[in-house]
Amino acid sequence: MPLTGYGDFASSTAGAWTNWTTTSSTTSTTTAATIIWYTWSQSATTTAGLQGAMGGIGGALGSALGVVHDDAPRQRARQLLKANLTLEQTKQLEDKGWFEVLGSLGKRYRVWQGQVRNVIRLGEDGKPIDRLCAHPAEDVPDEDAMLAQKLLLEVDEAAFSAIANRTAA
Amino acid sequence: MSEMAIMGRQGDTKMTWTPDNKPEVDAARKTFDDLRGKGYLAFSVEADGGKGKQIFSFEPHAAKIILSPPMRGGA
Repeated sequence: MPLTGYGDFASSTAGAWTNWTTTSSTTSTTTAATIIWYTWSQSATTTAGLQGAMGGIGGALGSALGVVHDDAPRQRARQLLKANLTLEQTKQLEDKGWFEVLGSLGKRYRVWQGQVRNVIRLGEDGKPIDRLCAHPAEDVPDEDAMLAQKLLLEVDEAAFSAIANRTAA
Repeated sequence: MSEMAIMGRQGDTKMTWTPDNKPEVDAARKTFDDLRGKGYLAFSVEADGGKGKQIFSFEPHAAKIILSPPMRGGA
């Protein structure tokens, strides 16, 4: 898909950067920039580790620079996630960008798109209490991380809470 | 046909087996055990997205198993 204007470029770049900054908690900015520049400079690439971080940069920007952007990992992750959500959770994710999970101890959580600080614990009144951060140790697409969060919360909420770092909601 | 989805950098990798086919079951069990040995979490899930269950040993008759890399606390 060719670029159709500055707006597309800006939104793609912003999306990718937002995605990068919210999914990379350990890699320095220098490394990120180096990897991204390296990828842009290739005529074709399927650099797997970048898929999650690059996020929305793939289509318009990738094509404009002659890069073949492999979105297959995220497509697979999206399919796996949707196959393991209830109809209500699927609708919540599509409409609101999050889905709710009932933990094994009875607390409710809101899992937002992403994998870093994307789990919100809700009070009985439905208001956010705090933000939890726990995700797969390996670099996986966001949707895989969201599914892992859902599954662990549903079967062992205590384990998830014990692992997760907390910040104010 | 049973299926195992193994999460990874490339998205999930699927592995299938027929419960009464011993070589297929053995191969799936070996993969499961290898990944469990690396700390992967295993969940047996149903088709409707309902609550799954965590499993700690291979279940050849499970309809679908999902393996996630071990979880860690983030930022």
